[in-house]
Amino acid sequence: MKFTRSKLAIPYIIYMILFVVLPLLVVCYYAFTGKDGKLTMDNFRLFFTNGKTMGTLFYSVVIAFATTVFCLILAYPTAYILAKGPFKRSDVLLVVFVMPMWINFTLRITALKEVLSLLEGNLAYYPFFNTVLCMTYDFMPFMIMPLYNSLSKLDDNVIEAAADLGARPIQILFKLVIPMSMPGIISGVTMVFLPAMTNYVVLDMVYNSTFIMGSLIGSYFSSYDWHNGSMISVILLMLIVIITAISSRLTKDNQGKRGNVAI
Amino acid sequence: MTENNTIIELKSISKSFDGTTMVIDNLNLEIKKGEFVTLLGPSGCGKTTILRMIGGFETPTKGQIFLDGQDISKLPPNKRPINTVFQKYALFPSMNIYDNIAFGLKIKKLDKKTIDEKVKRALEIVDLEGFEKRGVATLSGGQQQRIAIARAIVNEPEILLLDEPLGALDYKMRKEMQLELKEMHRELGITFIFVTHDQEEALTMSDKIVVMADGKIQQVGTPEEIYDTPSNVFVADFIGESNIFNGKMTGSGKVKFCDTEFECVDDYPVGTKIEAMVRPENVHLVPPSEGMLTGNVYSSIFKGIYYEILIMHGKNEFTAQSQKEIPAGTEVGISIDPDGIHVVPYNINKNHYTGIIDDELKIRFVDFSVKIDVAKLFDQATEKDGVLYDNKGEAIDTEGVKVDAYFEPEIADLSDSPEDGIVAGHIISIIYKGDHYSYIVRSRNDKDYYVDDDWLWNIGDYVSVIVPEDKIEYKLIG
Amino acid sequence: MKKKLQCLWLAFVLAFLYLPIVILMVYSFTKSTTIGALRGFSLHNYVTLFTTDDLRAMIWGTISLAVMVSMISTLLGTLGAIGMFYSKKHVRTGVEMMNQIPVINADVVTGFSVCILLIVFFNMDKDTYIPLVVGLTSLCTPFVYLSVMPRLKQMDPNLYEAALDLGCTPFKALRKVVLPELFPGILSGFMTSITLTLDDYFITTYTKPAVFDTISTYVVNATKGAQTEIKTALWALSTVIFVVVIVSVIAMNVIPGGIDSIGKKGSWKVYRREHKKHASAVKCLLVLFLLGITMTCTACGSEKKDTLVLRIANCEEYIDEGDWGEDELIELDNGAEIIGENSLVDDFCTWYEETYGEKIEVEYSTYGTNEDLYNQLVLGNEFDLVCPSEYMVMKFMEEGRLAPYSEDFFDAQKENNYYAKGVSPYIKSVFEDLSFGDEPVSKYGAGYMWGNMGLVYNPEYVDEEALKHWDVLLNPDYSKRVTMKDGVRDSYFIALGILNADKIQSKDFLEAEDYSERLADVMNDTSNETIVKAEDILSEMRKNAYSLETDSGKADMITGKVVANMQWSGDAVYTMDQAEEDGAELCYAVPDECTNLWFDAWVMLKDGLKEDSRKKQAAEAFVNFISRPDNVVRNMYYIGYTSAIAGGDDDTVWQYLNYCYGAEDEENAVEYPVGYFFKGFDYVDDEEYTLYVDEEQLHRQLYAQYPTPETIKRSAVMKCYDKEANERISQMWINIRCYDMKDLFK
Repeated sequence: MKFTRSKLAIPYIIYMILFVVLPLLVVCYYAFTGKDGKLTMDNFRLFFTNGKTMGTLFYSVVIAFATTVFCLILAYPTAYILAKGPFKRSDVLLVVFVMPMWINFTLRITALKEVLSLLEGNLAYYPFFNTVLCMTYDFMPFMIMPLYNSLSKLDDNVIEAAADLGARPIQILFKLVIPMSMPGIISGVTMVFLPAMTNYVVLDMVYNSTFIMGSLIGSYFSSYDWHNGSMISVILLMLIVIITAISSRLTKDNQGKRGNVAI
Repeated sequence: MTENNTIIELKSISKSFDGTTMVIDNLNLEIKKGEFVTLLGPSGCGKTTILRMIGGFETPTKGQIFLDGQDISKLPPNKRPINTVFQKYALFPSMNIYDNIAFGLKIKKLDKKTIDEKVKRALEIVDLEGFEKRGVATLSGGQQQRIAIARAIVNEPEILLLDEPLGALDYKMRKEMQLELKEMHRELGITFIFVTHDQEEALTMSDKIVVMADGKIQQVGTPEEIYDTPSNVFVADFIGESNIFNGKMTGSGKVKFCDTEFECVDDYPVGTKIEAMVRPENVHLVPPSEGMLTGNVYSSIFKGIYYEILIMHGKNEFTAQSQKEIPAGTEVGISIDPDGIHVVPYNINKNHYTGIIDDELKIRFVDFSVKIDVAKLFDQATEKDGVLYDNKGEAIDTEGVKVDAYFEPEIADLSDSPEDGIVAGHIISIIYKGDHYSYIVRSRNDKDYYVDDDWLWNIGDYVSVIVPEDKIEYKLIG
Repeated sequence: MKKKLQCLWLAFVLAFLYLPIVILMVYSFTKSTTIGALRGFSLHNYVTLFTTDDLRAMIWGTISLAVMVSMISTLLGTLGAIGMFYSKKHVRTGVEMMNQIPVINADVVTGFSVCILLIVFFNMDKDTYIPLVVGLTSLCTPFVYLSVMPRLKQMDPNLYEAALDLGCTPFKALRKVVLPELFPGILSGFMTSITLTLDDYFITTYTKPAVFDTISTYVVNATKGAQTEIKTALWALSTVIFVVVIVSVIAMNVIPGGIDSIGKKGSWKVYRREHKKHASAVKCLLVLFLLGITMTCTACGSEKKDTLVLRIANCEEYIDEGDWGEDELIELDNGAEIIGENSLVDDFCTWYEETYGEKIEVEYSTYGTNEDLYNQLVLGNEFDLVCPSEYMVMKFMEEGRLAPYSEDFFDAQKENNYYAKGVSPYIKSVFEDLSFGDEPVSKYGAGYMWGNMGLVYNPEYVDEEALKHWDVLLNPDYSKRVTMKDGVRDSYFIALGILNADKIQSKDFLEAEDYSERLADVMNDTSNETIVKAEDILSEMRKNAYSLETDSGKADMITGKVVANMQWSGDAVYTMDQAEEDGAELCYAVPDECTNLWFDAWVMLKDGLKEDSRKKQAAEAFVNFISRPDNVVRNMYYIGYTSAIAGGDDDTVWQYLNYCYGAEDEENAVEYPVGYFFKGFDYVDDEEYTLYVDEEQLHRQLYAQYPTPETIKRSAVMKCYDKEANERISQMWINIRCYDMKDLFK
């Protein structure tokens, strides 16, 4: 066989097909079969007709939404100041802001949890708030990165031109800066929203005993119900596909969620 | 005799990247040992592709490449005694100068001492002695350029390929490097194949210039030949500046354009449609009474060593050069010596398209289809209910019959609204013809339409070609 | 002004990001066990971190796993990126879409899908580490691809051609010219992989072998657990990681050059230095790679060694792990002096070698609940000896997973048969009565610990009257200050108690002749309507609870976060002991309705033993060893639970009871009969086995360890649900954890 450079990718492609695509196909197979092995839509129907599982979907979305909004509120000004502010080595400063990412998230959540227990006394009184706070704490670096990337690409001359044409700062922000940093916002939102819907460890750690989508998979799994567990995975996959479709329509900037996090 | 002198020969070479569009179309070229050959043409004409095929980075889709009489078409680059200087030099950033230059020699497993000597000698040739230990990033563009050349020539190739090597340098540096390259060529005595889109560079450096456009060779010749006797209007327009006019032969050695008859040295049958090319320096400005024709100056621009004078004669524009300024509005005479006029016959293959009659008596072409009275194409035929009958009343099988359509470039117009015309496409060529512009519009299906238009468009504009339907001439083929 | 505001904002965000970590760092250097009160400086957390075998194994395991996974991912991802860069565009577009899947997919789904494919579908053994490595590699490879690809795109495309032109073969050109160019991308891909692997919880938790933990899974388990020592050692771990991260970030950014500047600036000296640095980095990576491989090989290969390996799985913190302080020495009246220096498991190995003359190695792993154990078995983990509760034993019997004990094992005459000699007559009769089909549990199971379920409470805050009923857990007065078990069976049992409170406490019911049978029937009711009613009760209970816990309730009681905690008797003892050390007094109550009586038993698994008689002998020897009275005392002292061993002729256990609770000389001493345990239910009020104890013990450790005969009378054993009921109850349990849309409108 003649050596060509493209053949180098063969091990990679085989691996990805075997251990990324195939598992998902098997999950789809389990999701649409019953315990008797026959094709069925029952699992699908069960999810959407059971008020409880729908409640979980709702709760996950609310948690994820609140987390995303918190992250945006904190991360946007930060990224803006880093990218456009008066600091010389803003790239080094950025590292300081994303550095917590390299510490294991369970340890970080432990730290925040200890502080919160001191402040609140009993964590169980504010499960929702604590969950959102911890998730914001966990995911904020993922929001800062893409925002910084897109804001630093933004041409200063454009802002100056707008000011020159008489726009007030607030107008510049809403009519120019935010629309132009939309790719960053969207990729940040995708990076935060999806994990926030599934990261049930955070809830466990702050004594929030309500399920989110991720915990459903786990609990079906531990009651040996691969079929319903797979169905939850498939529903999450569909959500992911929808969200990515929307975001790729809104932006061409499809960077990986943690891909641009490299040193 | 030519046999042993030819170092590289390209035979019926075609190249296509996507399987449909031919980037190089049936090209033949011979290059002699020790020549400095320049491939010259606008970007996208295929000159770099030719170079890459010689270098071995691409394989021709069709045809063969011979090196010293041996077919090397399928040989990988590392097996060819040919080295390349790349456009952006492609020096290895992870190695220092010495390692860069010694790279090829190390691959050949020469001993250390020989390598040292050869590297030293190569650096001498490019005037960068003592640079061995420097890093690539520490060098200026010109120095990197020289290192790239040193890295190539140190392997003592039979042929050195240079792919627009001076493109990234600034003007003065480029001038210097041109001379140095020429000098190096003389010193090394090997074949240089040089690719550029800069005609001045080509004229300065080459022994032989190959002018290319659109995947085809337009003309091969010495710089003088190319300049003085361009084989077509494209070459004339591309190399230097030219006044180009449409005209007709009116007698032996007589040609008429701009409503004036001139004497010329080229001879074609009387009545032949021609294109006449006159270099600005051959347009002599004389007092109005002495001129073969007269005109009014409307612009006079200082160009350093001469003034560029634009003269209007009726609707036609002439470009001339003058040592002194002639104020706008002055009436001048124009006189052209017979050997200042270069005449080539007008290409009569333009704007012919082959179509097929379908079952609804429509004629389908690649880009468009028309509904005309097909009966007129056939001798004494009449149409009835969508079927043609001949004069004996028998039905004629019209389906699949081929029809040729032709229109004069003059009758067509361009429009920027894609729906207006029969076909839309991008402008790929513009030539100024004194009183109008001659355009070539290329459709999506790769057909070219020649259109003369008074208005100025730009290369790359997306336009549609408007042809009045009654002005298209149809003819049965065969 | 503007700049000041901007600085202020950045400072605020930085404080949010770093303050918790920094606070934890400070506290890691103190003796404090919670954030709040600063106690004196101490390095004991660091000592614990680096000397506890568990923690050390976990840290090294995590690091070598991360290195190994990153190596494979880097190799695959780099090859993939190079190959794809030179491929046709439409192929590349397709592959890049595939590459995006793990990047945007939720990690839970990635982990779950790999687990489903390899473990459920292909029945692969988690212990091979293959599912774990495969799962993490699937996550990391795309990120390597994504960090190498931009370098390829930035690279002058002619570099490769130039190398060919100068005589390189394509392979050599890639190696000599392209690869060095890609190095920064490859390195950053490698680092990203390391970070992802170190940070991952979800993929690991679905694919890891039972005996293996990464930082994430360990931390999550530890926060569920009760060991404060481990908890504070993890603070030290965060500090260490934080420092390592800071140092490496500074190294990457501040040291002249950094990675990306190569070839851009600097003199050739800097360049040469960087170049060498890379060369050595490559070598380091290679060495690490080899190391990683050897480590996994030894991990995999250890089983194949000749020593007999006994694989035991037990509940977490369910055996004496040794390391007692000198002041913990137990001196009994019969002259026995008992202390746990090494863990019982280690002691067993020594004892076995001495007694049977054969070397043995015990692979000891733990699980959280009976269900976790079952899960591990279903998913292909193999053990020889495990310790489930009676209902799970019956389920195992139903599924034919168990190997019976040999006849020899029950021969009370043999010297080493401590179990046969010492098992409590009461427990023995229970095990003989419990049966599946026509086989008694006693044939397959050897009793280990037993107990009931009750409420640990803080008498300062909770009204004793309220504790007479299980619905104290629903009481809004104690909202968010009570905990319930994160286990469907225990919670369902309590819901049944609440549902049927009136019925089972009615006079008729209590006085019925077949009271016990009827009680058992009521408490094992799995009819549909009952489940629906239970769901409502449990939903309310969850909302009222501080948390659903498996193990953390103990710690939360001790720290005072919780005032009443649904607890197994043994954990209750542990909790009360710990609280006593902190100067608090906690009590134990069993509500009047009913309680769950449970028995844990050692059983041998067919799949593990594979009819290996050596293994079977070793397994039986292990059961006997931990049934030896002195070891029984060690276990009881260490974990708080009550052993099924009474001791037979050996009175060590009885002496230990006296040692703990005996208070004959005191004024308010009351009689406390335990004859039922030592001699059987016919001897309830046997004089010989009546303790004289302090009155308060009626609500404290003793009551939890040896319930009174009345309490036993109102106890029921929970049976194994049939498959269909189990499914309904599981779904009910999931439902109560879900968000109830009705709450929206309240």
